[in-house]
Amino acid sequence: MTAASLSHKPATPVLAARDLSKRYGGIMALQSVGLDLGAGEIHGLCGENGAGKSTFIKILGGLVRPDSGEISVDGRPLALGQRTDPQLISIVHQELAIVPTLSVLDNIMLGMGGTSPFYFAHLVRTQVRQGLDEVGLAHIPLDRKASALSLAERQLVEIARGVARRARVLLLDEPTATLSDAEIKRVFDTARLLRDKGTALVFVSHRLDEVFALTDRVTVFRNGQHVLTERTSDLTSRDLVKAMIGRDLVRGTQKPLSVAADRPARLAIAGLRCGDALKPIDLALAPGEIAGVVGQLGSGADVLVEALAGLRGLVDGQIAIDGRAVVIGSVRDAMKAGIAYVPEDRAGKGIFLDAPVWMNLTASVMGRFSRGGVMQRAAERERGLELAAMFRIDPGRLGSEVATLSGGNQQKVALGKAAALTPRILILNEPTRGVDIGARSEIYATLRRLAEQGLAILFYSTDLEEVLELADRVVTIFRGEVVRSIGRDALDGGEILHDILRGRDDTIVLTQ
Amino acid sequence: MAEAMAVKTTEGWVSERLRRMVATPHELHATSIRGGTLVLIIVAVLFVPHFAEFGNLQSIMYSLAAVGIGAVGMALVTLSGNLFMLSMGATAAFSTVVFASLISLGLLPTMLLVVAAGTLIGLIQGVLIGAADTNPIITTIAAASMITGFGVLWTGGITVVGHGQATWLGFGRVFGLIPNQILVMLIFAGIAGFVMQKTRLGREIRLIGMQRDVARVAGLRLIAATMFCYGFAGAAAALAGSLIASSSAQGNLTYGIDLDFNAIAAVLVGGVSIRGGRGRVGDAVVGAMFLSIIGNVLLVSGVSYEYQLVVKGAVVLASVIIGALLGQWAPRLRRRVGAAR
Amino acid sequence: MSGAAWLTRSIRLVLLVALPLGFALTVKHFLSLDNLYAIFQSFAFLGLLALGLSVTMIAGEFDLSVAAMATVAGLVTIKLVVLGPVAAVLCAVMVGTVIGIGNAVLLPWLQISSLVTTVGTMILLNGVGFWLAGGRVLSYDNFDVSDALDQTLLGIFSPRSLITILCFLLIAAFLQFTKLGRDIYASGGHRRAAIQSGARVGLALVVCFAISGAFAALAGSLISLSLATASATLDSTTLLQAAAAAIIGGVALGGGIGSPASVATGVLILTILNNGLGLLSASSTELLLVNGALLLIVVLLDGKAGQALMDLRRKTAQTKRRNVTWQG
Repeated sequence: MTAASLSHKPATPVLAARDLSKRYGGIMALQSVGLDLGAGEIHGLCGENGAGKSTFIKILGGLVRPDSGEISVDGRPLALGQRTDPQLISIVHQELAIVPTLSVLDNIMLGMGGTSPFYFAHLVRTQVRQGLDEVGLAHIPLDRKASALSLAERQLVEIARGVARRARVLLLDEPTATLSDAEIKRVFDTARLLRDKGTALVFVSHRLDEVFALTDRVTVFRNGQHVLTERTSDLTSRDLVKAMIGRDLVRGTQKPLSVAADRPARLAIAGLRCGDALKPIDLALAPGEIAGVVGQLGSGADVLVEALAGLRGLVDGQIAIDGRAVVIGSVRDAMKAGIAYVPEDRAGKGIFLDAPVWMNLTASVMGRFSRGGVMQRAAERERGLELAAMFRIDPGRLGSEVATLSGGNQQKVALGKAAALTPRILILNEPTRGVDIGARSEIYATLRRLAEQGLAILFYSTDLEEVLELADRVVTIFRGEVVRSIGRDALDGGEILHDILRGRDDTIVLTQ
Repeated sequence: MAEAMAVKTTEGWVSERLRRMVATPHELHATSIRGGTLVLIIVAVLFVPHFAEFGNLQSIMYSLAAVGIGAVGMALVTLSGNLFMLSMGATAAFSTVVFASLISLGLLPTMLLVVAAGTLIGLIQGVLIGAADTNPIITTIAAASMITGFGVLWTGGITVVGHGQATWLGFGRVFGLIPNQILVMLIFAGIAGFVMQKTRLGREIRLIGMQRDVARVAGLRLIAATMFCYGFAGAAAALAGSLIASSSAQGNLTYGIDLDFNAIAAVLVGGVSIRGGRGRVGDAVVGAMFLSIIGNVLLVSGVSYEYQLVVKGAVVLASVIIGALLGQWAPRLRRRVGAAR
Repeated sequence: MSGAAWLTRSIRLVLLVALPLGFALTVKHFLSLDNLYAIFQSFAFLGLLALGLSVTMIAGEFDLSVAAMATVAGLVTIKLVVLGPVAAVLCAVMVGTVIGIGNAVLLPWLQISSLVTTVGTMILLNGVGFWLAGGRVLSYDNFDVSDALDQTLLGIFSPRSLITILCFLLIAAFLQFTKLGRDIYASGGHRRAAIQSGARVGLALVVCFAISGAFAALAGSLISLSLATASATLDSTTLLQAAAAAIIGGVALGGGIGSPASVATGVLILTILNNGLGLLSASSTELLLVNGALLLIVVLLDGKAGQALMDLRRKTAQTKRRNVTWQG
C-alpha cells in the first residue's frame, strides 16, 4: 500500500465536484455533496444502498442533471446533464455495458469520442493493444466476440475500455463483485498502475477489506449527504461502518444450534450433477435447519440452488424429500415436490412489479383458489392477509402495485409468494440483496420462525455477513464440489473464505 | 394509495373504483377512450345530419360486429405479451370460404365447424410461438401466407357461393332493433372478459404478459396460456369470418382480409397496453366502437373512403403515441411516490 | 443470442449452391442470359426492401411499413413524374426518408417496440396509398424511362439492378467502416449496454429507419417507373418476402447480427427459388405456400429449435477451446 506516501489533500484537484444536489419528487437524493480528487489518487466511495452513490455516479457521467452544483475536471467546468466526454471521466458501471455480439476491440472502442466518423478496426488495434499492455491487461484477446467471454472477463474488458479512453478520471462502480481472487488482484494491479501514471480513480465498493487494501482516501455518503472524507490509513473498519450506517453495527442475537441432527433428513441429495458446473454433490438438510451454501461466482453453488428449484432442467443424481425420491425437471416439478424458490433478481424474476401485492402473493398457488377454473377472491384475500401478517407487510398496501414498495418490502412479497406454497423446503438465492438493514433483520426473524415450525431452508449468498448471521450450517463449495459442512458452533468467516477460495487441499490454486 | 382489499364501505368502493380508472396508464387511456366515444356519439347525434337515423345506427352496428370480435381475439394475444397476430385477416377470409362451402349443413353446425377450424389454425401457431419460442410477428406473417395459399388451392381463388340459410346471422335482429351479430359479439366479448378477469387461466395470461421471466419462475403455465390465446384468437377470426360471409352467404379470400389491421387498430385505440398484461378485453371493443363511429361519421359526412383510411391511420398512430407517453409518465410518477415512502 | 446466425449460414451456403445447381440440371432455360437477367430484376426490387429492413433488424428493430412505403412511393412517383422522372424518384425517396425518420423519432421518445409504431405507420400509409390512387390504377404512358431503367447491361444486369447492388455496397461499407455503423450493431446487440457505453443509439435508429424508408421508397419508385403503373392494392407477399430474405440472410430477429453480404445471398436464394419454381410452372399460390413455409422454418430456427442445435454445437466447441483460454 502506498497510501502513506501520497499527499492527501491535492493542491490542484483533477476532479472537483462541489455542492451537488438532486431532488427526486419529495426526497433529496443528494444534498450539497462534494468531492475533490487529486492526480494519482485512488479514492474510495462508500455508503449503504440509497446513500446517493448511484445518483452521484450518474451525475458524473452526465446521465442525470443535478439541481445545483458544479463539476470541473482539471479546472475546466463540465456541462452538466450532458453525456460526459469519456476522455475526461470514464465510468465502469456495475451493470456491465458489454455488447455480446461485438468483438472485444469493438466493445473497447464503442462510444469513444473523436471527430472522425470513420472506424477502421485494424488501424486502432495496435494502439489499443499498446495501451492495454501498459496497464497489465495484455492478455485480453481483441478479436474474440464478447459473448464468448466469462462474466469476469467481460468485467476486465469493461475496465480495459476505461483504460483505452485514457480518461483523466476513472470511476469503478463495484468492479469486483463478480470477480475471483486472482482477477481482483489483476484489477487492483491495473488500478495502481493507472494511479502511478497520474489517473485519478474513484473506487466504489461494499467490500471494506478492498477499500482498505486499495484506496488512499475514502469518502462516505449517508442519506444523500456527505459524511466524511479521510485518509484511509487514519480509519478503522469500525469507523467506516459507523459512518456508513450512522451507528455501531449490532450483530443479531445468536441463536443456539437447532436440534436438527437426530431428525431424519428433509432433503437428501446424492450424486447431483449439472453439466460441468456441478460434480456429483451429496447434501442433506434436516427439518428446521437453515443451511447456507457458499461459493465464489462460478463455483456452482448458485447452480445447485437453481437446479433444486427446477430452473436447470433435468439433472443427474438422486433427490429425496422426506425419504421419497422425486424427479425435478421443471419449476412445476419442484413445486409439486414441496420446494419453493426465491430468485436473486427480484425485479427481473422474483415479482410482478406492476401487479398488486395480493396477486403476487398467490401467483404460484392460483390452483388452490380456483374452483372449476374460476378464482375465489374471498379465499385468496384471506390467504393474502395471512401471508402479509407473516412477513410484516402492511395489509393496507395489499392492493398497491409492488413497484410502489421499497426494496425491503418487495423482497418480503417475493418471500411471501414462495411461502404461499407452504413448502417443505424453501430455497433462497441471495435472500436480502438490495434490502436495507431494518427490513433485513425482519426477514431473518421471519425465516427463523418458519424454520422453528419445521421448514428446511437452503440459501445461497455471496454476503458473508449474511451467511454468518443466518445459517445453522454452512456448506462450502469450490469448483463444483462440496469442500466442507460447518456447523453453527464452529462457524468462522476466515475458514469459510479459505474453503471457497482454495478448496479442500491447501495448495493455492488461484492466486498468482 | 390503494386499499383494495381493506375497502369495505360503498363510498370507499366507489372512490376506489374511480381511482382505479385513472391510476395506471392503460386505465387512464381506456377511460379517456370510453369518454371520447361517448362525446363522439353525443356530438354526432347533435351535429351530424342523418347520423342518428335508424338505418345508419344499424349500419354502424353491422360494421362493428365482426371487427369487435376480431379485436377481442387480438386483445388476448396482446395481453399475453405477444404484440399482434397478423394472420387473423387471412383466417377470417379463409373462414368466409369454409362458411360458404358448408352452409348447406345449416347455420349452427356450420358456425361450429368454422370456429373449430379457426381454433385449430390458431392453436398450431400457438404451439410454435409458445413451445418452440418463435417470434410471434414473423410466425403469424408466415402463417397468414400459408392460410391464404391453402385457401386459394382449395377454391381456385374464386368466390364460393353458399347454398343455405344464414339469414339469422346475416340479417336477424333482436326485437327488430339490435342485430344478432352484435349479440354474438357481446356474448363472445363477455366470455373472453370473464376468462381474462375471473379465471385462473386469464390471470396467468395477464401475469405472463406482464413479466414472462417472473411467470416462469413462479411456475405459471406458459405454453398452455400462449396456446389458449392463439387458439381463441383463431376462433375469433373464424367467427368474424362467419359474420362477414353470412350476409351474402358467399365466401371469398378477400373478404375480411383487413381484419388484422382493424383489430390491431381497435386494440391500440382502446388502450390495451402493448407491453402486455395490462388492459381489458372490453377496452378493445370500445376501441372498435370508437373507430366504427368515426368511420361512419366521415361516411355520412360525405368524406371519401380514401380519406377515411387516412383518418383511421392517424387515429391509430395518435393512440400509440398517447398510450406510450402515458406508459412512460406513470412509472416515473410511481417511482417518485415509491421513493418518497 | 440466437442460434440463427450459425444455422442459417450453413443453410444459406447449401441453398446458394444447391438451388442453382438443381434448377440448372432440371430446368431448361434456367441458366440462359435472359433468365439470369430476370433473376436480377427481381433481386433489384426485393433486395432493396430486404436491405432496408435488415438494417433496422440489425439495430434490434423491425420496420413493418416497408411494403406499404414502397406502394406509396410508387404512387408518388407516378403522380409527380410530370416533373421529370429523376425529380419524381427523388421526391419519393425524400418522402420515404422523412417517414422513416418519423418512425425512428417515435422510438426513443415512446420507448416501445418499433413493431407497434411501424404497424401504425403501415396502417396510415395504406390509407395514404388509397387516397393517392383514388381507387384507380395510375399509369404513365412514356415508356422511355422504363426502357432506360430496364435495358440490359453486361448481359444480365440493368440500371435498376445495378442501383440495388450499389446500395448493398454502400451499406456494407457504411456498417463496416464507420463509427455509426458499429453503433448500429451495438444498438441491436445489447441496447442498454450500448447506451451505457456511449454508442449513439438514438442517431443509429434514426439513420436505420431513414435508410429503410428511403430504400423501400426507392424500390417502389423504380418499379413503378419500370412498370409505368402504380396502384394502392398492395402485393401482400412483399413484406413476407422481404422478411424471409432478411432472415434467410442470417439477420437475427434479436438484433446485432447480420451483414449486407449475407442479406444479398438471402435475397438471391429467395429469387432463385421463386424463379426456378416459376419456370417449373408453379402457380403464384404454390410460390406463396413455399415462401410461407420457408419463413416458418427459418423463424423456427431463430427460436428455441435453433437454440438447442446451437447449444449442442457450442458445447463441443467449448471443450475444444478450454485449453486455449486466456486465463493468466
